[in-house]
Order: sequence, then structure tokens, then C-alpha cells
Amino acid sequence: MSKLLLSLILLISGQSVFAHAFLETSTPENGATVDAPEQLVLTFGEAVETMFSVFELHPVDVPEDADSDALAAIANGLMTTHFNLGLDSVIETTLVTEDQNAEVVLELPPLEPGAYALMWRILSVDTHTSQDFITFVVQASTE
Amino acid sequence: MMWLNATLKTIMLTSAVGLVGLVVLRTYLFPSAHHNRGQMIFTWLFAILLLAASALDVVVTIRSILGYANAELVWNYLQNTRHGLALWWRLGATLGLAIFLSITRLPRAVSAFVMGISASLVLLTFSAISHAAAMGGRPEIALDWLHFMAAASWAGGLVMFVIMPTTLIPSTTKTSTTTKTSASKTSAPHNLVLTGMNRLSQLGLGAVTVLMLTGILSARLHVSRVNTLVTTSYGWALLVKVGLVLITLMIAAANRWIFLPAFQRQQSLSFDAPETSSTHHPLIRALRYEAVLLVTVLAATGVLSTQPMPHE
Repeated sequence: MSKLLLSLILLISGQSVFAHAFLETSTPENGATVDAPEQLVLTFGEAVETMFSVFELHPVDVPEDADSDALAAIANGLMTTHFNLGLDSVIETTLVTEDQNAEVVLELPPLEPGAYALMWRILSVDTHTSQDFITFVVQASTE
Repeated sequence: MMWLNATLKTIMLTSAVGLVGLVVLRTYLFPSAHHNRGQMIFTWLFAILLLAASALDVVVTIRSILGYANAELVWNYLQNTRHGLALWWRLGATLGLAIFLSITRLPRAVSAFVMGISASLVLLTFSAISHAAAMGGRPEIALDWLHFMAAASWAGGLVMFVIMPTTLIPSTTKTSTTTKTSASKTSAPHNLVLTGMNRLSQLGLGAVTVLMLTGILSARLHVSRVNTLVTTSYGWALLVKVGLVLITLMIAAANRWIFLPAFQRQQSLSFDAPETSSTHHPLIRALRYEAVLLVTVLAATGVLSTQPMPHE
């Protein structure tokens, strides 16, 4: 029934209702604990204008016993206080992806063990902007 | 910032639809009518508004991402983004269309062909950076384009038709107020208006058919959850737009099957004081309501295009 209703609405409006440049998958996954990654791969639901999107990797200070929810809460606050302000604490990354692409690849420098938040504000090809972040923890090398 | 964005989008949509309306008026509704300065003023007003709002939209978009904008960034943006590429095409197509709309001595078939292509290109520059374009590939863009062309032809043609009797062909309508002694002079502009009304009615019917077909195909491509319609700003804006379209469709149906036949009967019975009887006829009033509603739908579409879509 709901699909019928939505079909009727779309029929009249001609609009595509459910799409946006939201993150679909990432490597490492959001909240994951991993060995130091060499690159970050973000896959969005729509093609992104990479030249006019901002990606920043920030180290996050968290208590040792903090879980992924606590890490996300701290990163959410950092998004307001640290993102896109040209701070020295931003870890330099290299954007590999060019032009318009739904998959964005960032090359990373060697990362120390600890928690990190990758924040972004992206422009999708339909000129909409959106911002979000993922967090991950780099564990100490076991070698 | 969001309202500035929505205002710019509405100005762009309205101006583009206005240009399409002038093409419809010139090539389909009144191909043999006199073209005057009023039409020229509308042409360049719409063209300048469309291009100025498009340029401002670039600055607003860059600022929304980076927090600032300068000439170098704008130039980079215009050269390296799909939005920028679409705007170059929009600039060329809009200027071309405005120039051809300003030329009055071209052969009818040539001007119809060139203006049709230019107007289609102007609309394509919107579809190429629409939600549909972001979601998928060429089928989605083609559907959006067809949908927009049908809507623009209907809305633009209707709005220009409503404005037309007092501004676009004054030299013909004013002669209709003369005395009964010049019966042939009196009937000429009325035949012109009646023919235009019939064509507008046919155009509306065709446009609604295309809107329904493209809507069905869009629904098959994009149908998903319904609850976000009432839980997001995008969903509410969409519902308002759909409500306005439904009301417009009802008025359009009444015009097509009730008021237009009545108007034709009345006009065929009497040529007495034809302009007075025309402007006060329920059909003319209903057409004005329909035009106002369609412009409101355009404004709703402008707001809609700035809303973040629900996260699936």
C-alpha cells in the first residue's frame, strides 16, 4: 500500500525521493579497530565533486576504556569545533580520486596508534552539500 | 542561506519556464501573431534573470562548502565541476534562444526548430545537475528532462497566454473593441485567441500525458519507503507540491471540458463587445488561477530542489 501511495506521488511530482550523497561503505569501517591503514576508501550514494569537497583527518583524544559510541560522540563535537578551520592538528592526507566519483580514496601517512575521525563536507553533482564523519582506532602493531 | 538558495533556484526555474513559454507562444499558440516590444522585454528579462541567478548560485554553492568564495575559485568551479559545465551550456543556449526570440524575420519553420533546440538545451542544463542525475545515469536524466520539458511547455505556455492579451499582441486585441461595422476586423483577433486557447488545451493534455508517463517510469526507478514523506522537510515540500499540482490538474480539466466549450459557444453566437465578454468569462479567470498555481508549483520545486533528500 505504501509503495502504491509513493508511486502515485512520484507519478505526479516526477521527483526522485530517496537519494543523497550519504556514505554507503567505508574502509576501514566506521568504529572499527584496525592496523594502521595506508588509505581510506569512502563510497557515497552519489558522485561527489572531489575538487570542491573537504576531507580532514583528525586525531581524537579519548579515554582508554571508551567504546565506539563514546568515540563517535567526541568526534561529533570535534566536527563543530575543529572542522575546516585550518588547524595545525589536521593530519595531511592526499586525495587520489579526481573529478566526479562516488568512491573517494585518500592516501594516509603512517598513523600512530590511537583514535581518529575522518570528517568531510562534500558537494554532490546535483549541487547539494552534506557533511558527516567516521571514526576508527589504529591499534598498536603486534609485530 | 537555504532560503537564498531556494529563491535563486525559483528564479532560475521561473525564468527558464518563461523562456520556454515564449517559444511555445511564438511557435505553437500564435505563430501568425504580431510580435512586439513587450515580447522582447520579457525575453531579455527572463534571460538576464536566469543567467544572473545561475551565476549567484555558483557563489552560494562554493561558500556553502568552503565558507568563502573568490574569483579564482569560481573560475575553477566553472571549469572542473558538472555544475560549471552545465552553466556554460546554459549561457550559450540562453543567449542563443534570446537572440532567436528577438529576431522576427526568420522563416517560421527555421525559427521553430532553432528555438525548440535551444529551449530544450536550457532545460537539459537543469536535468544534468538534478537529483536524477546524481542518482543514476542517462535514463534518469532523460526522464527528468522529458518531465521538465512537458511541465515547462504547459506552465510557460499558459502563463504567457494569460499575459499575452494585454501585453504581447495589443495591436490585434485592441482592434477588437471597435464597432460592429468592422466585423471581419473584430473576428480576426478572436479567431486568433480561440485558436490559441484550443492549442493551449491540447498542449496541456499532451503535457499531462507525458508527465504521467515519465512519473510512472521515475516511480519504477526510485520507489522506496513512504514514511519519510511526513518525517522530513523534503517529504513535506514534496507533498505540498503534489497537492498544488492536483488542484491545478482539476482546474485544467474544468477548463478543457467545461469552460472552453462554453467559451467557444458564446464566441460563435456573438461578436458584441467581444473583449469585455472574453476577459470576464469564467474560462479566463480559471486560466489565471491555473497560471498562478503553476507558478506556485515552480516555487515549490525551487524549495524542493534545495532540500536534503531523506537518508535511505
